Amino acid sequence: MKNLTELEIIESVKKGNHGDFSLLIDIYKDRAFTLLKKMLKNEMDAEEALQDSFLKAFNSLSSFRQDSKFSTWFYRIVYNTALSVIASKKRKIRMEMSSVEDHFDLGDVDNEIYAKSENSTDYMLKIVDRLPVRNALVIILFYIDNLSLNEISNVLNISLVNTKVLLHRSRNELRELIMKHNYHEELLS
Amino acid sequence: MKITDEILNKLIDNELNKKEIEELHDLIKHDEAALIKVKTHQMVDSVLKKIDIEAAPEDTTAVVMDRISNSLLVNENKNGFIKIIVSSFVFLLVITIGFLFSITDETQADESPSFVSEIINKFVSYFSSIEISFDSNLMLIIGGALTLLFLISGYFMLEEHKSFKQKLENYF
Repeated sequence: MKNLTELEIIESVKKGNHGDFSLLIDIYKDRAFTLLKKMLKNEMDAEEALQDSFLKAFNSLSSFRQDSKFSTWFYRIVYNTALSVIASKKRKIRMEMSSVEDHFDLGDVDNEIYAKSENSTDYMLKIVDRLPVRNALVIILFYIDNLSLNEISNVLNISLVNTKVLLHRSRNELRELIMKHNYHEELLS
Repeated sequence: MKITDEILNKLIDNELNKKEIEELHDLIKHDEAALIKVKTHQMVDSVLKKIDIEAAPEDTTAVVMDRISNSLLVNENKNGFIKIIVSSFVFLLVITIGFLFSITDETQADESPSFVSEIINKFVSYFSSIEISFDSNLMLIIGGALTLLFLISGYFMLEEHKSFKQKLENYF
């Protein structure tokens, strides 16, 4: 296997060594798949969107100007691909981001998840799977991909303030859910 | 100090200054509700850090590379089709020019204003007549045009072959 940096791989692919694109796929496929699964809540859709995202990235690689990190550029493609899938399946999605109003409206699902969870960690990880699209995206990019809030705001094409609000609201809502089910008691024991 | 969502998130993001941290520590010493909130918020952060990366299907790389090579082949075919069309036009153009030259030779002496219409008439009658007389000049023109066509086609085919070979080498 070739030992190239991301930028070297990109340059190589741009020069016509298309086979080197597989190196980029290997780097990003798992993280992008995790992201897509959390956004689309469906494994088959996530697989298809993953392939489409890589294909789109390959076809528009010549437009990648290196003024941002490749990960930011690529995740923007992944995010837009996921939005297209959601839109095509006519799932409820609001694109406008003049205000951040991604509330957790879990309803009975919360009780169902709580009943099936073994402990607080298990419960929280299951809840994360049910997060609204943008909350899930921010959480995954921040905690798994270690992207900065600024980079995440570029991926979502929203302001830095709104990105921060999304992350904070996600944490706050999760905290409230944990406290609602008295999981915090194990922290004090 | 009052425990707010903002303070809790600043704590997680290490955005509190020294004074604020001291105030917070003082508060949670005496306020159990505040302590619960802080600890739960920290727990949320630590659990989120434990989210597993899920493995994509094993064949993802192969499937995507297949789709990429297929799309490249489709583009190649499109380019090839365009080249064939261009070659055909060149061929027709060469034949037409050759034919016009052959007629011009015959009518060189004629300077009358009906020269153009005469050429058009001859051109039309040439293609509409069933019996085409294959005299030596005509054969020369057709032969020349065909040779040119073969040379152009050969050039395109060689270029196609070279770029396809290059792509195969790059792919593997």
